[in-house]
Amino acid sequence: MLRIEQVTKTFGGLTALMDVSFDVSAGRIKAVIGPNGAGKTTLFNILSGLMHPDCGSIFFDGADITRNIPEKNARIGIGRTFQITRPFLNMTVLDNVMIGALASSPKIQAGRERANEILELLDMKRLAHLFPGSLTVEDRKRLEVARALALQPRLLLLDEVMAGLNPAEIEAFKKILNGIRAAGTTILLIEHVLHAVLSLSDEIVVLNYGQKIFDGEPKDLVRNEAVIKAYLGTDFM
Amino acid sequence: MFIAQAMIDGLLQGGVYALMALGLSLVLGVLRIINLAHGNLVLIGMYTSYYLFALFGIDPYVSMLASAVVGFLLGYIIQWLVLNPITGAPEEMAVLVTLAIGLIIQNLLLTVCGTDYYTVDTSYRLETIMFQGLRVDLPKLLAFLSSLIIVGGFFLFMEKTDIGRTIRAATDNREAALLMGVNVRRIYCLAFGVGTVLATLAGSSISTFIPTSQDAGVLFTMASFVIVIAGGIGSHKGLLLGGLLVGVLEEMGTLLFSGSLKQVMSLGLLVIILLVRPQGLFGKEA
Amino acid sequence: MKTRTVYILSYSLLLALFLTVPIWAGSYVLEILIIALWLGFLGSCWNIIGGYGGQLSIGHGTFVGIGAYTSSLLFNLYGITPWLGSFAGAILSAAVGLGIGFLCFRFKVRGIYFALITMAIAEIAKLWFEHMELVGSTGGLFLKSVHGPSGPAFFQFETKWPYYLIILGMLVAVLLICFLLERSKMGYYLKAVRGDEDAARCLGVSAFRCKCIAMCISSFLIAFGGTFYAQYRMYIKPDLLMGIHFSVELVIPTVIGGWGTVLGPVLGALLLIPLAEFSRMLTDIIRNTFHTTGLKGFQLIIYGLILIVVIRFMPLGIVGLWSGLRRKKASVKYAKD
Repeated sequence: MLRIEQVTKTFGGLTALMDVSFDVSAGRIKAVIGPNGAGKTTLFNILSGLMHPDCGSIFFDGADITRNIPEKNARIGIGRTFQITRPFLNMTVLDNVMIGALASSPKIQAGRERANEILELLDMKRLAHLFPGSLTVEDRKRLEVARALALQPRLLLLDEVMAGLNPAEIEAFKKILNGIRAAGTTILLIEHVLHAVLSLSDEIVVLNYGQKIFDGEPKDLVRNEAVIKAYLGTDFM
Repeated sequence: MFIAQAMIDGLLQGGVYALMALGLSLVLGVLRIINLAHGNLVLIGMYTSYYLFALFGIDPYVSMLASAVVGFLLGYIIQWLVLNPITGAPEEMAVLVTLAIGLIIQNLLLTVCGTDYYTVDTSYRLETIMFQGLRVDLPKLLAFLSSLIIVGGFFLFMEKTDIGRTIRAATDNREAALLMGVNVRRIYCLAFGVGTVLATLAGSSISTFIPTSQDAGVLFTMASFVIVIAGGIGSHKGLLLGGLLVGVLEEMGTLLFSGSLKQVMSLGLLVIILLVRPQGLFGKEA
Repeated sequence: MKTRTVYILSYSLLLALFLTVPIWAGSYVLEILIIALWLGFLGSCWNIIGGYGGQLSIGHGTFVGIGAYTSSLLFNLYGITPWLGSFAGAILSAAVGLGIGFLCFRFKVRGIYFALITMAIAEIAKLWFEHMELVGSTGGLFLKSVHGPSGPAFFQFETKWPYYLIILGMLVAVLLICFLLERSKMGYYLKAVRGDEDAARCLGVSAFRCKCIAMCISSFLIAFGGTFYAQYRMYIKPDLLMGIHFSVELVIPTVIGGWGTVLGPVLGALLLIPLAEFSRMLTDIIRNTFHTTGLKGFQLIIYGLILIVVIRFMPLGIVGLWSGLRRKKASVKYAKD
């Protein structure tokens, strides 16, 4: 469903991504991991259309989306969350989710119904009329996901949705993500919480200093030398 | 021939414009404040010089000292009372506040001094020097030279003095300055004070060849912004060149249109620059 | 729902009250109310791009001027009634507004730079009109023809109360538009763009289109305010309606009342205009020499002071203060759970 081909992106003297290529098959959960500064969020920015690569291409269901603007990508079915949550602080949780819903349901009433459904799905009904400013970190992360889900995306890009959560919250999120995958949505996620990634993902890509150093299944990952070197010092259970 | 004359007038005017814009640039760079009241601060300098001249016969280049003191105090107080408390507010809010300040200053001047145009009628106001067949207005020449001196002095101040260096440090890295125990709020007041001084000094010299009136504030503000943005925020070279450019453009404007339309040139430049190259000629990323 | 009926009832009562004003108010009070409602109208139109769109425009005087001059010229030169001429002005104004919006938003001019561009354009437009032969060769002054066709069919009335009712009607119409806009898809999208433009775009919101549409609607509507003024005073001058000075003046009541809200602009205008009048009377008493009606020095100082206080302590304006309190109540309940 998603093909990333030789994507390179530099900022001034810094190479954020160098010749990165990999595929994501429909209906799978694929994780992108790597040390900080490895270029993961840059990749997401490119995939969603906020930035464009210097060279390389992105194909979504066969169509070239390399130069697309974010609005277009959202409308063809790519939803994303942000690493540092960016809720619309000036409106309620329900309205936040409605923004996503309105992309596919032009009528306000229909959009509101969809938004309520999503909130129900993510167990957020009681938060509907609060403002994001007063939410906990976990709830904010859920809001990010809810908003993106309201788009009815075929590909969901999740940027560190589990960072800063305690084990119980992580388990809850894992259930949610599995539910999303079961409903037919493909997920590409950036994560640091390795044990969650290993148990959740079908495939994993590892980036280091902008380059891909591994692309395969979790069970092969833990034995891969290059990956272990890159992660030297990192704790994983 | 006319073009050469316009060039001379423009360059001289441009030097003074550069001084005027320097105050704005300082405030923008250090405090990240888009000061829409800047032109009215220039007016304060003009009115100070006018009244000291009209009441006591003191030449504006002498009363510049008083102008500087008034400017510094005013700037310090404004930052202390009004701007410091809203540090961190979204920039549109800060802009509206500076707008309000400008409104207050302009209308204070209007209420107290009236709508008349006041001329600082120095003995040399109408003197000219002929140079290679071109006319050089003496007041403009003096203003140009004094502006260069002040600008030079300012750069020395920022490089060599402790206060100057602290201000520059606070500009480059606010958090680090805070951590090092620097009283950032006081630095901000000093910086705004210095910025206002530059504005009022420019005002004093301008008063020798432009009539003083309360509605000129907006024009000075816009001209300063054109210079700062066209030259590039954070670039000294850009500022000086920007000032000269705007000065020359405006004088060219008087050739193309009538005299009172000359602002169209610099305003038009502002629009184009903001659309096409907001970081200006020499600026870092806007 | 019960609260809904309460709202409808109270607003209807308020409207009825306003409708009865001409019966009991004198000419002086009518004059003040007309100006207040007019500024409320202008502010509400600005609010569509400034408040709801979140783009701080300090150049809307341009559109007011375009509206005023278009209808006035059409009347002066061709005898076209301003009732129709106002639409021509509005369409022209919308075209200019769209052009400005298109250029700015296409080139990603945001925030303060947008404000600067609108200011520059406002001054350029004013300077241009001040030197335009067509609108008055004597330095840009423009006198409406008082000897041409007249009467209600040509938007001219002998007394003040028809003007009052017209501006009241215009204001209510704009308020309704704002009310409907808030609850429409466009309204939600604009709010999202205001909140976080990039995040909104990643959710399918075409920020460019929304901002352009808002700019278009705003400049279209505000032009009618220009025509109204021209017909009320029968005289217009570029620096009265165009340029930065007036553009700032029409923004202030909206910011103080609460931008991005339906009632904010009206509230601000209804508070500030009487206050301005009061301070003007005060200055007249204090300084007998200041006799001219044009001298507006003192009340603008008051405006400025109030603006600073409002931004410092209630940045969302007076209306915003009230809704902010409601929010606090809700979040306290959440924290308890």
